[in-house]
Amino acid sequence: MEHESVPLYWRNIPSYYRLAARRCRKCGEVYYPPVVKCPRCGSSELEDFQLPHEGELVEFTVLRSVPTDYMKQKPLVIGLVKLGPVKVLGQIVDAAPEKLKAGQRMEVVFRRVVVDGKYGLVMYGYKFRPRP
Amino acid sequence: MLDSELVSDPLRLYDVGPMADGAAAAILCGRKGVAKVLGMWSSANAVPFNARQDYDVLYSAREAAERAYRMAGITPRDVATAEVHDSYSILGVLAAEALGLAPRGGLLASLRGGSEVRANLSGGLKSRGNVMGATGVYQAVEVVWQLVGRGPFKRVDGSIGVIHSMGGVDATSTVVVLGL
Ligand SMILES: [Zn+2]
Repeated sequence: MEHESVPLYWRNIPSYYRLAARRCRKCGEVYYPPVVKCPRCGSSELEDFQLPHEGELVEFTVLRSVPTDYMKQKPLVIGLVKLGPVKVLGQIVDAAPEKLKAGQRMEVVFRRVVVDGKYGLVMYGYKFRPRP
Repeated sequence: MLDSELVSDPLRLYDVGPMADGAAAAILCGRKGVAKVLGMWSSANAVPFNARQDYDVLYSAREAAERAYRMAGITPRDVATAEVHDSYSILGVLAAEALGLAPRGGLLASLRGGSEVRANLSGGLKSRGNVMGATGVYQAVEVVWQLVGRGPFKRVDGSIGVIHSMGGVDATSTVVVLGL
């Protein structure tokens, strides 16, 4: 499976590791993934905005047919979680899918996402799990 | 279909259009063609998937259809047949609704109520297969053949057909109105 290039991954580390979003200084809209120009008002003045590490599950699905790199993690639970002003798409771990419910409290955890076998690169990032 | 294996809840194997090889060709000419291009529009939904408010409307398809219909001077009632981008079964339903062939959220109820929705008589991406870049041309050929009654299709009742092609999940859509 093809992964994003090392330089691109490197540049995205703040958003993958720390959930660093961007907020428009003019209209206040928050973007995650971060943008360089505000699609809402057109302003280029954006500042870093730290997303909270707790939120609420909006919706989720269970992927039973997964890419080859994720075979060991099959099935993958993918969900939308509301973190402060934005919804973030990500993997849900440490949870039985049949026990998940829209609206439940979730927290962010830092995990290994995938090991790029060809180049030996280990990619880390955020995942979600139900709040104990 | 309901017994096929789960791919991603609640979509099962036969909800997913298979990747396929294929080729289609259409000849564009100035005059004396079999059918005319009456309207055409492409629209994009710039909002990323995670930031959307609604997940049951294909905005790019809806806008492209409205503009293409206006250009062609038609309404959804004039559409005798449509070929829509159903790479997954639910996308076919949402596309038909975006094209105005049924109200929002109402396609299945319309079908149950006995209304006829003439969409994807070819079988669509799910049955023909998703031939990626060639899919849109396939759709154009299929719509024209349905309008003139060339086999394997029966002639549809009407002279206007529509095709809808989409990139991503509601990222970009192109709608073309074809008429005899
Ligand atoms: Zn702004």
